[in-house]
Amino acid sequence: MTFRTILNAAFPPFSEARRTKPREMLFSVAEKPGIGTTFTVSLQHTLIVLTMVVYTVIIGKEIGLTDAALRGFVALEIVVMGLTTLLQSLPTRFGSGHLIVHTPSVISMAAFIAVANSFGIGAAAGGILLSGVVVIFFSGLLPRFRSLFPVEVIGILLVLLGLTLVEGGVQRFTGLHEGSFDTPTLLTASVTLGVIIAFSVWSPGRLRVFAVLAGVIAGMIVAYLSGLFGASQMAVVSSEPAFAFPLGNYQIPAPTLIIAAALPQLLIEVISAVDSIGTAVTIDKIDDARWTRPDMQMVGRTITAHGAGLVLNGLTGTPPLGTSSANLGLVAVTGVASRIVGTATGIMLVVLAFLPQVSAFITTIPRPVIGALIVYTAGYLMVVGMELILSRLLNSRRQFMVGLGITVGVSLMVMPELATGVPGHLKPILGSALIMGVVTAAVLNQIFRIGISQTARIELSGYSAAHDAAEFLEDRGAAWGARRDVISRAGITVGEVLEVLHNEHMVEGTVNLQATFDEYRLMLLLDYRGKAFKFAGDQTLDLAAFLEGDEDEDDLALDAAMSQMSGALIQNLADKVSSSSQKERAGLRMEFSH
Amino acid sequence: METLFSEMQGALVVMPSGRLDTNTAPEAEKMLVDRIKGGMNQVVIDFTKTDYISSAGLRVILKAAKLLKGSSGKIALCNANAQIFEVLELSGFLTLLTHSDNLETALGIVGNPA
Repeated sequence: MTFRTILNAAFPPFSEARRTKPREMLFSVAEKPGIGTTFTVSLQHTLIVLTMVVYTVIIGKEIGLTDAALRGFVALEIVVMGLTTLLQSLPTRFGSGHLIVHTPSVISMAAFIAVANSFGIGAAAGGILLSGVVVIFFSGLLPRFRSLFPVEVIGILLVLLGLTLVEGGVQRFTGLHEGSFDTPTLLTASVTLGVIIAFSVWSPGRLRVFAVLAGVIAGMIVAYLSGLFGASQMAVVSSEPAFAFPLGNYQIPAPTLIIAAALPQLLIEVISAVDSIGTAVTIDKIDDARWTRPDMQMVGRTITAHGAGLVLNGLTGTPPLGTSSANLGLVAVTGVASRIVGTATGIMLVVLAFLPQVSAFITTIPRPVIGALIVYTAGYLMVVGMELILSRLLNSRRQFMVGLGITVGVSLMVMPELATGVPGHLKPILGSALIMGVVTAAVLNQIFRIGISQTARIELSGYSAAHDAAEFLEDRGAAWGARRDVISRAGITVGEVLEVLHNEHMVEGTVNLQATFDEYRLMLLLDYRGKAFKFAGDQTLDLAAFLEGDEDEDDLALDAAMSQMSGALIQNLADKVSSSSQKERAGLRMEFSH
Repeated sequence: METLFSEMQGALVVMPSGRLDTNTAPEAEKMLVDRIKGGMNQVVIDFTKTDYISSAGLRVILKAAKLLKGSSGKIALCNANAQIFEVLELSGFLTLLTHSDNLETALGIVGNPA
C-alpha cells in the first residue's frame, strides 16, 4: 500500500460536483467574477466576519489579557481565520472548495474561557489542538455515517441556529435596556436592514453585491448623525500603529494536555463540526437549483479544513473557529458563491491582521448595524431550515423527532435556568440550545429507525389498485422520510402503469409492488402474471398533428394515441425503466433518483 | 370523484375533483363532450380540486381540444398542482394548451376572439 493510496483513502481528492446554477445566483462556486466584483464582495465578507472578532475581544478580556497582549491575541485569531478560510476555499482534498468563511465560534467561547481560567491558556490550547486532530480524523469517517445527519436534523440545526441569533440580533437592533428601546439605535438598525432589503429585492442583479456594504454605510451615516459613532471611536483607532506583526505582546502558550480540560472541549468541537455540516450543506443548496442530497465528500473536506483550523488555533493559543452563518447569508444576498471570493477573503484577512488600525476601526462598527445584519441572517437561516425539514414526508415518528428536537432547543433558549445545576465545564454542551436540540433530534432519529424496513411490499388488484399504490407509497415514504415530490412522482408513474396493464389486458390477477428506499434512490419493482411492457424508442406523441387530423377519427385512434402517451409518461416520470419477462410472469423495474 | 360544471363569463368551467383516471374519466368525458356538442365552445379546465391525473384524464382533455378545434372553440387549463403540471408538461400538452395560475386569466384566454 503506497502513501498515495493511504492519502486517497483518508482524504479523497477534490472533485467538482455537477450543479445547476439557480436563477438568483450571479456567480456559482466555480465561476470567476471580475476583479471589481471579487474585491467588493470579498470586502463585504471580510467586514462581516471581522465584526465577529468582538467575541475574541470578549474572550481575551475574560482571560485577563491586557491591551497590548489583547491586540496580538486578536490579530493572531484573524490570521488563523484567514488561513483557514483560504484552505477551505481552495479546491484541494483538504477543503470544501466553497466560499465558507471561518469566524470565532460562539459555541466554543464559554468552554475556552472556563478551561483557560481553570487550567491556563496552555491547557485550553492543548484541548483545541487535540480536538483539531480528532475532527480531521472524524472527517474521513463522516460520509459513512450519513444516516446520523439526515436532512431533517440539519434543518433543525439551521432553524435553531437562526433562533440562537435572534436575541443577540434583536438586542443590538433595538438597544433594549430596562424595558425601553433606544431610538437612535433602533433608527440606525432599521435603516441598515431596510437598505439591505431594498438592495436585495429591488436592485438590478449586479447591484445586489453591494447590499450589505450599502446597508453598513447607511447605518454608519445614521449612527454618526445620531451620536452612536464619532470622535471617541476614531481616537481608539488612531492610537494603533499603521503596521505591526500580528503577534504583538501576546505570548503564545505551549499546548499542554490535561484530560479533564481537553475532554469537554473535544466534545464541543466535535459537535461544532456538526455546525460545519449545516454550513456546507446550506452553501451547496444555495448554489444548486437541483440540490437533492448532501454531498458527503464535500462535507468531509469541509470538516477537514475545520479541523485544520482548530490545529492552527491550538498552535497559536487562540479561541476555536467555526464556520460563519452570517457570511452564508451574504452569499445568498449577493448571489456570489465563487470560491475565488473565498480565497480573496482569506488573503484579505491575513493582510488585515498586519494592519491593526484597520481592524480596530472595523471592530468599532456600531452595535445596531451589527444587529441588523444578524437579524437578517437569523431570518434567512430559519427559513432555509424549515424548507429542509418540510422537503421530506413526515409521519408521526419524524414529527416527534422534529418537534422534540426544536422544543428541547427552544426550551433552553427561553428557560436557561434548566441548566443551572449543570457543572460549569459541561454547561456549554448541556446548556446549549443548539447542541441539545440537534443531539435530541439525532438520537431520536436513530431510535425511531428501529423497526423501519427499507423494503416494503403490497399486493394490488381491482378498481382501486392505483389509489392503493399511491397511498402505500405515501405511507412508506413518510416512514422513510423520503422527499414528497419523489414519492408523488412515483405514485403517478405506478398509477399509469397499472392503468395500462388493466386497459390493455396485459395482466391476469394481482400485481405485486415492491418498494425499496435508500437516501439516494427509490426502486419500484412490479411483478405480475401477464405480458411485459414494450417501450418503443421515441414514445412522444405528436399532439399538434393529432389535433389537425380528421375530425371524424374514431375513438380507437384516440386510444392508440393515449397508449403511446402512457408509455412516454412512464419513461419520462421515472429516471430508469426496464421491463422483463420469464415464462408467464412479467416484471417492470423503475428507479427514481432521490 | 365528481366533476363540477359551471358557466362563467360565457365559458364552461370544468372542475374535476379528486382523481381523474381510468375509473372516473369516462363519465367526465361524456358530460364534457355533450356540453361541447350542445354549443359550448369556450372551455376552461380548473384543476384546483384535482389531486391526480392519468393518461385517461389527458384523453378527456385531448378529446375536448379536438372537438373545439373543429368548431373554432378554445380551451385553457388552470390551477394544476405540481404533480399534475409535471404530467401536462411531460405529455406535451403545455406546448399546445395554455395553463395559468388562476381562473380569471384562463377565462380571459378563452374569451378573447381567435
